[in-house]
Amino acid sequence: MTRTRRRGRTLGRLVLIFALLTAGAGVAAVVVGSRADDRAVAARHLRTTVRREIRSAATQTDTTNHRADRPIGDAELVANSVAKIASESGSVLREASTTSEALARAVDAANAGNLAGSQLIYDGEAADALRRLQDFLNRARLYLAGAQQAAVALQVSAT
Amino acid sequence: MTTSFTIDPEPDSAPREPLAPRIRIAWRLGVLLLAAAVLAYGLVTLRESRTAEQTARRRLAAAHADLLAAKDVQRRAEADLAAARAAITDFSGSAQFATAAGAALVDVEAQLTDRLSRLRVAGSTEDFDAHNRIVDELNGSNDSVGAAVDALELPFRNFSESLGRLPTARCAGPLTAPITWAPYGTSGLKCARLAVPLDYQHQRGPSIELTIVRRPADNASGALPLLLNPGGPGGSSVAFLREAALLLPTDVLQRFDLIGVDPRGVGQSTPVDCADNLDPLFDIDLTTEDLNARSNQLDKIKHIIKQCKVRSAALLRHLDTKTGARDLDRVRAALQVDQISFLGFSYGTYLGAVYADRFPERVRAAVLDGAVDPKYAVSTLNFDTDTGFDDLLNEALLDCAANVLCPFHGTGDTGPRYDTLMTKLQTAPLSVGPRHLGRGLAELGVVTALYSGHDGWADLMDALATAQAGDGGALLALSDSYTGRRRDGSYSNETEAHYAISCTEVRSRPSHDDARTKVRAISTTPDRFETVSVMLSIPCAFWPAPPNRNRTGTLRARGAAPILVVGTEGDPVTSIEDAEALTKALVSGHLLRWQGDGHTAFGHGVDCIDNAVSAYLIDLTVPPEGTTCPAE
Repeated sequence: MTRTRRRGRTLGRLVLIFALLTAGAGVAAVVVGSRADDRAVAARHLRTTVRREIRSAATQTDTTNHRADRPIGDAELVANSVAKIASESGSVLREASTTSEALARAVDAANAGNLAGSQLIYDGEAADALRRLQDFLNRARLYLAGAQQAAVALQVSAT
Repeated sequence: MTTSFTIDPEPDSAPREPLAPRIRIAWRLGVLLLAAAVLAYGLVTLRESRTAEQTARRRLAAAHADLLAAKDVQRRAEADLAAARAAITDFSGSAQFATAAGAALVDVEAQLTDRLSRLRVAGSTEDFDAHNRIVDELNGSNDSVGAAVDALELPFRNFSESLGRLPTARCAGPLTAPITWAPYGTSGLKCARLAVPLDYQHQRGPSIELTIVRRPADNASGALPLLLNPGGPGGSSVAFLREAALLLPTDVLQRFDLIGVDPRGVGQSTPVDCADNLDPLFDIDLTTEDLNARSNQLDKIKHIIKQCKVRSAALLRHLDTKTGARDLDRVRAALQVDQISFLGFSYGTYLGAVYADRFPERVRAAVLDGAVDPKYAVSTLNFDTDTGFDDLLNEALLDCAANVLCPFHGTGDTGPRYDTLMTKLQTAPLSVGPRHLGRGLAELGVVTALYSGHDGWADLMDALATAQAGDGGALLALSDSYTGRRRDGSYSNETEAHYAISCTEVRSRPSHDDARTKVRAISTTPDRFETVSVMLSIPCAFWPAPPNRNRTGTLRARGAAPILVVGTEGDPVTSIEDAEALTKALVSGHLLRWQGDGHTAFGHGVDCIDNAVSAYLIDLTVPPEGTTCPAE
C-alpha cells in the first residue's frame, strides 16, 4: 500500500513536471510568438515606409517623364507646321497655275476684243482661284506663326 | 499560472487521507490537459506570429525589390530626360533653320499671290499695256515658287533626320479598347494606349501595353488608317511617324491618318530592357593577337546579354513577328476598321508580309519597301562581303578617286587608303574624348553611311578624311547613330529591342561555341566588314530566350489584296533578289523596281517611285508589271 502511494506520488510529480514543462513551452512559444509579432509589426511599418518611397519615386519618375514633353511637343509642332507649309506648297502651285491660266485666258479674250468675256474671267474664275490661293496663304501664315512660336519656345527650352 | 494547479503539495508530516484514485487521475489529466492547452495555444500563437512575420518580411522584401525597380525606372527616366534635353538642344538649331526655310517659302507664296492679285486688278482696268505685262510676268511666277520648294528639299531632309533622333514623349491617354485618343503634344498628333496579352496562348494572363500615335490626315473626310513600320527590327514607329510626316508625298498625307504603333518590346510600348551601359557590346577589339583577351571580351558581352533575362524575362519569350502581327490586328480592331493599309520598310516588310499571311482579308493595301527575303526574316546581322556593302563601298571610293575635291581623295588611291586606315585603327585606335575608335566601330560607321546609298557618300568621305587626319569623331558619331548611343553614354531602346527581336527570328542562331570559334578565327588582317559582322552577331549566341520555333511557313498571303513590293537594285542591306523572292512568295505580290541605291526607296523624293506608290495606296492602282524607275 505504501509502495503504491509512493509510486502514485512519483507519478504525480512526473505528471506535474511534464505539465510544467509543457505549459512552460507553451508560454515560451507565446513569448517567441509575441516577439515575432513585434518583428512583423516592425516589418509592416518598414514596408509602409518603403511603399511611400516607391510612390515618391513613381511620382518623381512621372514628373521626369513629362518634363521633356513640352519641348518635344514644341519640336513636333515645328515639324508638323513646317511639313504642312511644305506639303501645301503643291496646292499653292496648282492654284497659282489655275489663276495664271485664267488670267492668260482673260488677256487673250481682251486682245481678241472680247472685253466682256475677259472681265467675266477676271471677276469670276480668276477671282475664285485667287481667293483659294489667299486661303492657302493665310493657312500657311498661321502654320508659320505656330512654327516660329514653337521654335522660339524650343530655343528657350534648349538653353 | 501553473503554480495554482499544484496537486501534490510539500510532503506531509502527518499522514493524510489519500485522494480517491479517480479524483487523482482526474486531477492529473486535468493538469495535463491544461498544460497541453497552454502548449497548443502557444504553438498556435507562435505559428501564426511566425507566419505573420514571414509574410511581413516577404512583403517587405517585395517592397524593397519594387523600390529598387522604381528607383531603376526613375534613374532611366532621368537618363532619358537628359538624353531628350541633349537631343532637343541639337534639334533646336535645325528647327530654326527649317522655320526660316518655311518662312522663305511662305514669303515667295505671298509675293506670288500678291502679283497675281495685282495682275487681275490691272487686267480689269482694260489697260492693254497691263495685259502684255501680265503675260510676261506670268511666265516667271510659278518658277519662283518651284525654285523655293526645291531649295527647301535639303534643309527639310536634314530637319527630318534630326526629328527622327528626337525622343518620343510618353502617352498620357487611358488604356482602353476601342481606342480613346488623347492629345500627344501640342502639334495636333493624338496618342492612345492599348493592352494586349503578353502571351496569346494565355489571353487572360498578364498583359503588356502598346503605344499608338496618329497623325490625322490633312483632308479629314474619308481618311483611312495607314500603319507604318520603319523596320530595324527595334525601330520606333512612333518616332518614325514624325519623320514620315515630312517625307511622304502630300497626297498620301492628305488621304491617310498615319498610325505609328511601337511594336511590343520597342520604344513607348512595353520595352525590352537589358542594361544601362551597352558599350561593351560594341567597344571591342576582336583583332587583338591575344586570343584570351578576345575571349574575355566575349564574356563581357555574355554578362550584359544575361541581364536581359533579369530585366525582361517574361517579354523575351513573346517577341516573335507572328505575335507582333497579332498585336497589329488588335490595333486594327481597336481602331474599329475592317481593313488597314500598311507601309513597312526593311524588317517592317516581314512584319507586313506575316500580317497579310495571317489576316489576308484585313489588308486593304500593303507597301513593302526594302523587302526582306521571307526565308530569312531578318537580314541585318551580316555585313560581310556576301552583301552589297563591299560593292557599294568600292563604288563610293571610286567616285571619290575620280573627284579631286573629295576630302578622302588623297592621291586618288582611295581603296588602299581606306584599307590602310582600317588596319591603322585596328592597331592604334583613335581617342575621341574618353572613348576609342577601333576598327569595329569605324566599320560600323561606314556601314551606317552606306545605308543611305549615294546620299551618304559625302558624309562618309568627310568622316574617313577626318579619321585619316586623326579625328575619329565623325565616324564614331555615325556608328553611334546605328547603335542608338546618346552623347551621355546611355542608349535608346532600339539596340536592345533589335537584338531581342532579331535573335528570336534569326534563322540560324550561332551557338556559344560558334561565337568563340568565330572570334578566335578572325585574322589579324581581316577582310572588310568581317570584324563588324562578327561583332554584331555575338549577342545572339548568348541570347537568353529560345528562338522562334513557331515560324510561319511559306508566306503566301492568299486572298489578300494586291501587295506592292518595292526593291532597290543598289540596296546594300536587302538586295533586289530579296524583293524578288518576297514578290514571288506572295500570291498577290507585285514588284516595283528602282535603279537607285541605298536602303529603301519610297519617300526619298524619287518622283517615279513616289507617284507609283501613292497611286497604289490611294486608288489601289498597281503599277504595270515590270515597272522599273530609273535612278534620278
